Amino acid sequence: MIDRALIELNKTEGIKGSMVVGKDGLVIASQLPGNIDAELVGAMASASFGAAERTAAELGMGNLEQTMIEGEHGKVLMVDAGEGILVVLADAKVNLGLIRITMKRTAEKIKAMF
Amino acid sequence: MKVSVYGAGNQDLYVNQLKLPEKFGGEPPYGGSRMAIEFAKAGHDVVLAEPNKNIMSDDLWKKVEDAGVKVVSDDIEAAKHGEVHILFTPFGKATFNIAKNIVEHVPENAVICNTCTVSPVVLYYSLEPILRTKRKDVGISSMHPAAVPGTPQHGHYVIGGKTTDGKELATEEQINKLVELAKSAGKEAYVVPADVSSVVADMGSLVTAVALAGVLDYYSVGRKVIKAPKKMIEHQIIMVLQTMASLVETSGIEGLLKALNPELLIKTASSMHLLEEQKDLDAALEILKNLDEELKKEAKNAEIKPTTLVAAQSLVKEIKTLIGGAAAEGAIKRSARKLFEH
Repeated sequence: MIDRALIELNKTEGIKGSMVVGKDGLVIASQLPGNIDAELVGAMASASFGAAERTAAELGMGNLEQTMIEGEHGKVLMVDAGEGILVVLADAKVNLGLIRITMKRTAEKIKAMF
Repeated sequence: MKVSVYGAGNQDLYVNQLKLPEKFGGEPPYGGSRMAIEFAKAGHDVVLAEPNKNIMSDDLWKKVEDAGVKVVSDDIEAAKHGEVHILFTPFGKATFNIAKNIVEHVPENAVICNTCTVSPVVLYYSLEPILRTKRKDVGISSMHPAAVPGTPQHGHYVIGGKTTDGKELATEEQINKLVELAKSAGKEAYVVPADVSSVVADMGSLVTAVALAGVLDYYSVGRKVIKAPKKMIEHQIIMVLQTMASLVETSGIEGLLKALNPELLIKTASSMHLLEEQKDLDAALEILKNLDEELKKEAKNAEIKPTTLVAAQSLVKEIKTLIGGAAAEGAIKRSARKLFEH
């Protein structure tokens, strides 16, 4: 079920892959390019999302909605999906607005599946 | 109750190497096959999975089958049978592989139990991707004989209950089933926190017993003679145990021995002989004075590898503050799996 939602999400222009990891980094579902170590990326996503969550809380910013890592050759976006985190790998030059909307919709679907 | 036992037990080890009949008594078969016999005699429907028929002689296999145990060579066949699954399997990776192999085939609400040298917590971590997605109904515990089944010493089972931090790896119903199974075979059932079970039930209980005696001896001397504050004594005990554990992890026993320098340790520990009765210290000093020459040589040539001497619980608290509870727990699980699974 979650895999199907990710396959659908990956059809969005500029998205190279996506995954859902538990807040503890356990890979629930993954539709990432074959050369990526999903388990390792899941663990890193959990640590970076967790650190961002803690920073937002410490600064009184409320619940964390999204984090983004921007690299020279691509972006990683993470949004809260209830018990899990929805992680998306995107090209460097993408329509961020469109991706954010699509991710939000997918995250809602995932929340309902947990 | 439907019970599946995996592994008959290495009879050559029990009879010829450990000489259990002479030392402890009882009679072969020992181990998993004896557990299976005892459960069958208690009226349970038991399957014993053992792919290596040569592990026991024909007359011992006959004893197993005469007790009403069904013997199979296929783990999956045993997996489909039992509501309780007991892994009396070889040390280390083999056990994890068998568990991963059977977990998707066990009936609904079954419980998988480790016996020797595997912590139920690490077994849970190892199976977690399946347990949290496809098989949420399956429980993990231990059904640790904490002695060799078949010897008179085996009068009990150690069952892993809730962890010390309150995690339920198995439901209360599944734990109760194990207690009932142990009692039906005429054994005492000890339910202990799942993360403590290996420490008190595995062969490492030798270390636990000796180290605990040392901890209590220092606590007694520290409080009664030196009259040191309790907190200070506890800090020193933490320092000792953490340092030793960290050194074993990075540098092995030989590296530990080299770093601790037994000659020096004899001198310093002798001055802690402050009570008339400190038998544990007397025994320890005696052992250190008469160390095996081969071991001394190995220690001399050992390498003390880079070791991070951390205060584990404080570090966990710090990581939880930085990246949150769930992410920190995930990191702890993965590190435990890496340390103990391979």
